[in-house]
Amino acid sequence: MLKGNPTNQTKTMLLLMLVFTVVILLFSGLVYFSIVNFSHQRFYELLKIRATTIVQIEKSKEHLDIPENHILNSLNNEELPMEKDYVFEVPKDSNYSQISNQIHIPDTFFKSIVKKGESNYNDKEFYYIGQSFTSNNKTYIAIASAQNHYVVYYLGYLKRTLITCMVLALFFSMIFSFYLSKTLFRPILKITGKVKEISSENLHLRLEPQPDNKELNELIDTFNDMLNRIETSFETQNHLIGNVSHELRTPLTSIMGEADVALSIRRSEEHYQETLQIILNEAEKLDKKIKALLMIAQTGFDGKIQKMDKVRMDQLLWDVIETATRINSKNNVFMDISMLPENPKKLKVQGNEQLLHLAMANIINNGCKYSNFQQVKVSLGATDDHVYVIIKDSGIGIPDSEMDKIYDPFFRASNTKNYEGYGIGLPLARNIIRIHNGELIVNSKENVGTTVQIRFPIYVPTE
Amino acid sequence: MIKTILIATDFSLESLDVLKKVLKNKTEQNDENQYNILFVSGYDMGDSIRDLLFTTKSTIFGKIRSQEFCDAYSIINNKYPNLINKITCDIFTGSFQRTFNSYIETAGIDEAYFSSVKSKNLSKGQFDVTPYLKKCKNINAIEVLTQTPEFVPEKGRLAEVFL
Repeated sequence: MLKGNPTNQTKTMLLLMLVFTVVILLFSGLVYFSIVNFSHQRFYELLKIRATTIVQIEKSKEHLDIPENHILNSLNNEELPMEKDYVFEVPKDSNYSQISNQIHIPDTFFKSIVKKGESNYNDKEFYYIGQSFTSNNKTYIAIASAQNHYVVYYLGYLKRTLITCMVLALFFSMIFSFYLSKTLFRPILKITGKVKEISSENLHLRLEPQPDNKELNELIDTFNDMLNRIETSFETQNHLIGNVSHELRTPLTSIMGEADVALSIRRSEEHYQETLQIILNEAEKLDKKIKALLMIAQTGFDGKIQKMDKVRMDQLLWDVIETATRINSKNNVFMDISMLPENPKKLKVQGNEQLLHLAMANIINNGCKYSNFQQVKVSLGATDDHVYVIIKDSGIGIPDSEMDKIYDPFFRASNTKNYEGYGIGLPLARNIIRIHNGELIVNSKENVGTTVQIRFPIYVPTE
Repeated sequence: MIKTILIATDFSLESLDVLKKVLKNKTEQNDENQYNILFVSGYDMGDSIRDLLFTTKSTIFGKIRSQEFCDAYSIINNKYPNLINKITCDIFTGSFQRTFNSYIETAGIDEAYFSSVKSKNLSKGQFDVTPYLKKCKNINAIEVLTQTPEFVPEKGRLAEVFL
């Protein structure tokens, strides 16, 4: 009956049925018992009227003379079904056994009548109500009893109707819950089937949205988003391997070429020295690249967080700018403090100073390099919970079509041919900023300039 | 003493330029007052009874005010903590000059400023309150000269406020 993954479907169905059953049982029970209760009360009211009438009649008699242990009955014509009325005097010794035997009512009932003045009692068929009264200094008990036809005949009918309804409702609820659970789970099973088809070979496949199913479409969208990200990261990884091997091979090729040429014939000592110098240079380049790669790997998301301290962002930036100008006197960095908050506490960031220094230096140096040493503006500001660093240059910018690749290691935009670099700085900076729970946004327009907006959460001292 | 400044805005980052200029001026004059800043934009609620009943100010702000704007004025707030008591945003939903006049009165505005540049990025339903401000006789609105920024890569980003 249930193919695929039946457990949840069956569970839903059973749960639904259980809920239905409980609700129906509750309602039928409530209806049944309230009607029973109502009919009891109603009948007792009728009986009470009868009993009062009897008492009135008996009291109005001048000489109510009933011998002891004698029961006066069938006083009236039957007003109620199978009505029987009794009047008798309360025995002096309070021994009701004789009367009790005659009319088959337990003597506790009589005692409670005498005690309370009025009491009621019912056995399977008959309902009794009794009242005590005095006449000529003698205490009498009047009892009216009748059969509750309603309970006997009609409640049976009600019971049958309710049971039939219950069975029918259960049957329908079963069908309903079966279909409901089936329709609920059908799209999910469909999605499962579709997802199973997607593997690393056909990552371009996407799930189709279901018509008129908002929740499921959300799931599908989430899934498609995830697939998009997986696909991108797959691509990035493929690019990375290509880029890395290319980057590492370039110096290696020149090392090998130089060595090969030097070894082919005997050379002069100067020539060997020259060759060795070139080899050394190339090896150093290789070393630099590998170091940068290692840095990226270390700062990547591996949970190993270096020592975190309080860092004051303005000091760090002054430091970075000083270093940048020292390294290359052509670097022109302007620190814009027009938005600097007055409260220095708002500039504190939880982080590793060396790493942050590295990240900032990379971005600022990029700005200097790609703007041909025009002015780079570094601004600093703080909201109540974030520190913002804006680095703005008016350099060559990044082409729009390449914006999504700028964080790929070794990727270099197409307009950077004339500039030296490995394409390591930005991904490294982003990794570092990510470690610090920050956000890096790059906005750029080709030949207009680039603005890098960096945001760090403010340092909150823990109590 | 706390005074209230009204600034006509469209909740774009460029419009914060007015606030920056005003505050800079005040700093240069060594103003010792504290100011409540009230950003006001016009907003037409429309005629739909359902909209009028169920739209709250925050849902309107959700439509016409970006998070960047709030962050940006928070940056300015941190820059001039001595001058600013608090910054609030509000909308003016009326359409008559008299309504505006009484709005100015109830808000207790002491100074009002507006930008010399006409706003270009009004959202749906939003309108400029500058014309009302100019005509309002109870208050002497001051025009603040701002230049239309040329194209910048960081359009719409918080970075714009640092220009």
